[in-house]
Amino acid sequence: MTGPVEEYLRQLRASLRTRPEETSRILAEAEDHLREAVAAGLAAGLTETEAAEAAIASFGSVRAVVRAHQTPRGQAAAAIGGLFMAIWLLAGVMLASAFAVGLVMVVVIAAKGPNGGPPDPAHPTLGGFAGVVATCGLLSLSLLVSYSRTRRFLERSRSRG
Amino acid sequence: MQGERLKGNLDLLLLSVLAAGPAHGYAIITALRERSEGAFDLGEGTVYPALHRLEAAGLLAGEWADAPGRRRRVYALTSKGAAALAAEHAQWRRFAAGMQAVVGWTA
Repeated sequence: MTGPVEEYLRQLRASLRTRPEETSRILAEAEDHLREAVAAGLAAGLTETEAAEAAIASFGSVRAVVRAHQTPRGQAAAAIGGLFMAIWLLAGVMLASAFAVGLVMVVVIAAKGPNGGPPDPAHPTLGGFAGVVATCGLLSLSLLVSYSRTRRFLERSRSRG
Repeated sequence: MQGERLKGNLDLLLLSVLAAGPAHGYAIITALRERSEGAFDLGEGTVYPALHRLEAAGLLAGEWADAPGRRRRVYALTSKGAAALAAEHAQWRRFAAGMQAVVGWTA
């Protein structure tokens, strides 16, 4: 049976950015509190749904509870972590775009190569350019894969507990 | 009483409630609401971080107890907590007496 209380606890678990042992403590206390508040509501004559909604409203929004449990240091750490992850993703995406543009250029240059006249000494050779493009591709691939793995790992370690 | 003013006095309120004996979160918050006759309107979920902080500071001792089908944490005042309560209470009495002498009960 999943009622409003279960849904609230699920959202709280997913949103808390606390250490696993702290998260499990917060959730245990929130569950005990909400179940007692629901029982009090039922005793006062509310329906199951009304009692659950009243209990949740008095407890406070998931957002407010999550914020209350975050220390100033935790908030700073979360902000720095978020910035780091954003830079990681941005670097991966930029390298991937460079790879895509470079790949198109290599293909175009190679296609008109035979009748493109003598090689231009001011520009690197096609082989060298293709090497740079391939490096971009490999780098972006490793950045993006490690990014998504790190993200998944962080999400799993957050929701454990 | 709302917001910052309530937040600044929450520790004293929690220590005072627990001076009557050990209690778990829901009982503490219910006592707070009933004894203040509803004057303290605060998100109940935001009281728990204060309890955790007071426990980490050694003013409260927390212990897991069994509730029907779930876990419950019961908080008790430590001797350090009782000393902090006495000190904060003396400060509060001085502050309240001063406020009342100047402001009075009626505007």
